[in-house]
Amino acid sequence: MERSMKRYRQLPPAAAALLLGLTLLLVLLTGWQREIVSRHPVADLPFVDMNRLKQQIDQGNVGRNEALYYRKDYAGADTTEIR
Amino acid sequence: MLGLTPPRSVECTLCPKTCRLAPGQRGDCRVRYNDEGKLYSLVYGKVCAVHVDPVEKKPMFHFLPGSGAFSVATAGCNLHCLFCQNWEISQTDPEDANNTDLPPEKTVALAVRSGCASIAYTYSEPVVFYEYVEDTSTLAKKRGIRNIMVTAGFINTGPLRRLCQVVDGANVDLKGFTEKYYREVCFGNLRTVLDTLVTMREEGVVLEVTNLIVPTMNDDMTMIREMCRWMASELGEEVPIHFSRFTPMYKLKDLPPTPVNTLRRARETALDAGLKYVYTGNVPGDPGEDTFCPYCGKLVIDRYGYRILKNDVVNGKCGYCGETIYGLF
Repeated sequence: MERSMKRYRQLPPAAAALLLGLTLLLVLLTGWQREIVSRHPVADLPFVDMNRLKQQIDQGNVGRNEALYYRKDYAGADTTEIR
Repeated sequence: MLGLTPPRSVECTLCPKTCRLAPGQRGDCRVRYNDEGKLYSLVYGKVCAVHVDPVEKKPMFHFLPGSGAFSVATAGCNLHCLFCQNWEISQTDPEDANNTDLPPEKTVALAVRSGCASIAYTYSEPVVFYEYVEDTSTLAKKRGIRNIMVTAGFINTGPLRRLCQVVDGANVDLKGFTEKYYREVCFGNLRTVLDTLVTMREEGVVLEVTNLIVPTMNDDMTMIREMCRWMASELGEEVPIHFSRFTPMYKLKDLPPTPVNTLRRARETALDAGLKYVYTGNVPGDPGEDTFCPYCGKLVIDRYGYRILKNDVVNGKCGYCGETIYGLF
């Protein structure tokens, strides 16, 4: 422990700053991504199993009709209701 | 944001959950998903329950009594009530349901052929099969068939107003009267449902309200009184309310069924609060199933369960005193 602390103290200031910067960037990006995908209180909205879905669409058990009422590119300013 | 917006992401604006979806992700309702930047409904015309019911089963007691309602549902729901009475279809992915292809034209044709006066979008949550409700209702209206939504009312006002142009009647679940209850038991919010009720009333939809009384969870008479007073002042005293009996189901199997006395007390509370048409539900043979004229007090519609034994409403008026009875007759 003492040895690793010592090594840490020996890091050149530039490398330490870079390490800190990268860590902060990682935290920010992860947090931002999480906010984008999961503003809904349910933290992890499920993903569709695309293979199974395609199979089900082909079999006619589920449909694939474009929905009313959504925004493309929700982080942008476009709030047009589209079909 | 900083040009880092993930491509092809969408935000569903149908209901207040406003699910933000990355490509391949589906909404909290399970039935709307983002495919490369476009939002798709997986359940348009894919019906997992279809039945001809008496309209009284919805329950709609003031909407063409004694008529048949061609009832359809798809998988999915945007709420997740712990007591859900239809959880097998409402809380499942459409891929896991056994669906029948029933496009709007076919649905309307079957409703006509079966002699139904209305099509009811029911059992699960019509909000999540919005596009199918709208297209089917539009066609049905042209063929002289009425449309009924049986819904929890968890929808944004814009889409709701649009749907009200083609929907004639609605039974809206008012599941409780506190935000805490809606948040913790239903995973929604009360404010939206109240707004829905007011909007539907403004839009001229024949409205009825159902309150499922769950023992120990929403059976407080003070809360029920407050709810009924709100209804009387914001919707009008004539909007009917049904206090429905809970059956242990889904995630609340450890609770007992609602005691009939609780339903009767709720009914008395609602009448005291000024509501004119108050019913008990899921208790066949209870006097709370009947309609009494609020002006002369006479029994005008006698029911047993979903059956009409006598109907003395004539052209929408009490057959005894001639006063108008709320609803569509």
